Amino acid sequence: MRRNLRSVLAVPFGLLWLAIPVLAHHSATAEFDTSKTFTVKATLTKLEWINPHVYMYADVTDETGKVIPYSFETGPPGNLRRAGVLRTMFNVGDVVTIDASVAKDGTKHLGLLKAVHFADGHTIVFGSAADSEGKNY
Amino acid sequence: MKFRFVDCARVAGLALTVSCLIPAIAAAQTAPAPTQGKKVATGYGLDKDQPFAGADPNGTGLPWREPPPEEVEAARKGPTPRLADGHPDLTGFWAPAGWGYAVSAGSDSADGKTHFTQRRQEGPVQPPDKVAELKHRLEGSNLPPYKPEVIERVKFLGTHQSHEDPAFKCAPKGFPRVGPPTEIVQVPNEIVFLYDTVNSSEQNAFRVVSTDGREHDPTLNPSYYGDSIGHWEGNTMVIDVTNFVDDTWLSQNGTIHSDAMHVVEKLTREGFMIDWQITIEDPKMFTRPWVIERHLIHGLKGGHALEEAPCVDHDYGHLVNDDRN
Repeated sequence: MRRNLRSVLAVPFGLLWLAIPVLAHHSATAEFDTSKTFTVKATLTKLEWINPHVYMYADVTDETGKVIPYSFETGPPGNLRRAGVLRTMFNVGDVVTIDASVAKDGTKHLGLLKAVHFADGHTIVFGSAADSEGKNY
Repeated sequence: MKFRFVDCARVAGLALTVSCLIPAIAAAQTAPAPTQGKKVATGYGLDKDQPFAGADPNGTGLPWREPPPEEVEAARKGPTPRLADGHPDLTGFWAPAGWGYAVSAGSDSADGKTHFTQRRQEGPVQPPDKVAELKHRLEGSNLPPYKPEVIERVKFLGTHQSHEDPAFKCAPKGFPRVGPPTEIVQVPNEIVFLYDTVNSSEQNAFRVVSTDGREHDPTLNPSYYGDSIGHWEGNTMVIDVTNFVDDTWLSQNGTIHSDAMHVVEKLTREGFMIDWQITIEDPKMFTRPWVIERHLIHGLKGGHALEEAPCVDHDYGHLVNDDRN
């Protein structure tokens, strides 16, 4: 079933359940190709809980042993907090596995966060449960 | 699409009328984080009925959605508190607040190991209905009444918002784009408006409205939020706002204004409701005043979770097209 901004579910008392874009600023489609996902094992190096987009920075070690800095973007801090995602759930030094979408402009090592998998087995998905059906998160 | 009805029930809990709003919200303040046991308060007023980016009430192209009329009427029936001077007390946390995007409590998977933010993951290109919605937002029936010579410029800016909107590069949105106040602190001789702008490019925003009888100060520099002088007309606080810079927009739709803009803002409290109305005049660009009215409902006591909102743009240079939300 298609998902879009008109996807609503009426609930009692007249409120609507809305499908909400990941990025509230520009559209994700202006910067990222969400059909192309990459996955890296990374060590978080910096957390920027700022508007208009939260950024997480992480080091990835490639197959030759070279450490490559990556940047990951997601929604604004206020939206994340209300969705139950706090800065304190991430720590510099955490070794995590990150799923992200590639940048359309070809910038390497930049991604739109789709999921962060932690070493203890828990995962934070920057999307809905419906989005994740059939996927590895 | 698969909906999680536990979340729908949570939203429904937030939709109770004002008479039972506070306990309902208090009960709904749970958004458990996976495995870490953290509780995030999500039930306060801002989370209730925040509009989504495409909200377009009354064809205005504005993102401030009007609350349901039955909630407005229920709120109106409450007692109107007054200060010692006899004027209505506007103090409080008010929702739905100004500019904002829809918020949703996250959800956990059945095994508790995965937390979902509940935000839709967008496809690689904007779907046709989204494109149509964005086009519609620039063609509403109650857009600012621009003079003919301004209209094409506004359309261009609105269409290219992602690249043209000053706020997208973290410039202040200014008044009136910031919308209705989120929190009001009223004391003798002045009223302070605080704005929750955590979902946007805005920085921490506030206005101080002088109500001590002074006139506008001609020595003030033009500003993003203008010079606000208020006085009471019966139960209505009437605020005259002037002395604006000309580089803010009135909405996300390319709606520019000139330095001649003049805004009259009126707030009338009835019970747990404020009738908020702004009349925007711009003799250089408008053919007539543009009037916007919204109803604000008193939010949860102690719910003034105004968050710090620093803004640093990193991705402007990576935008490859004008897709906006």
